[in-house]
Amino acid sequence: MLEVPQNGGYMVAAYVVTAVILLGYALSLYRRTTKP
Amino acid sequence: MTLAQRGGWITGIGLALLAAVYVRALAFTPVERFQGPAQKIFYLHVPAAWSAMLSMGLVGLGSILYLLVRDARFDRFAAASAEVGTAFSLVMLTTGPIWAKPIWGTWWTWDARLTLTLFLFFLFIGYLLLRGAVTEPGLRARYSAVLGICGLVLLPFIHLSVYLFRTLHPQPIVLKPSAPSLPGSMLVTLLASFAVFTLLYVGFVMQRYAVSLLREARAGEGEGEGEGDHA
Repeated sequence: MLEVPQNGGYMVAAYVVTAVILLGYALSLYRRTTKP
Repeated sequence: MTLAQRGGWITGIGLALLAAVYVRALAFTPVERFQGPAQKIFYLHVPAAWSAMLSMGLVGLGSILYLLVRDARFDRFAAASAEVGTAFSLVMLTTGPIWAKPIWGTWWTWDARLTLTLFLFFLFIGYLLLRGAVTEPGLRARYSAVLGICGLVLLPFIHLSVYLFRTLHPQPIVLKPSAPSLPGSMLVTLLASFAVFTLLYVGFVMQRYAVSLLREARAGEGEGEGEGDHA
């Protein structure tokens, strides 16, 4: 019986990195469009 | 409602839907038997690559239209799309190696697909640096339009690189002439992610376009004040 690889850490890392990049960019745009 | 506010709303909705994609991908999409949980990086990596290529495609299109009609709106749109594309390229270039390490046993390999996507990222960076370096608006728009068209030319090579060269990178499983080779539940998650990344692209570009308008308005005010001082 084939065992499923235990590599969930990589998955979590990728999902966190993506969230950080996209949220960071969204925040940067928000700040630039609302700057007085 | 201003363009920036509309873009902000679309981005907000996009981020909320991205959270829903996270939940669906992590909790309600089956784990692939051979690759394990790391395969779920697919639901972010592929849509990010799609958005990066969409961004460069539209940078190229905006650039061609600018050179044809010399309308500053096309230049502004190309600049917005390039900055947004840089963010999506960064997602693609970080999630790719994180996925590659457990599956290929290496973070990076200099094969055609990976190298060309790295070129795409450098083209985005070069495009933004060029815009920052040239201060005269007409010259800046013309020079960057030429670079934008070079980026457009790169896209078919990136897409076809997995057919043209021996590569570790898998061939397309959705964007190909035959039917997608994915089980239904995985395909739904992938398509949802594609839609959300595209929505984020739209929201980001609208906001970034508004940033350009604000900068131009401020520069105009600055010039007006300067003229007043001289007078």
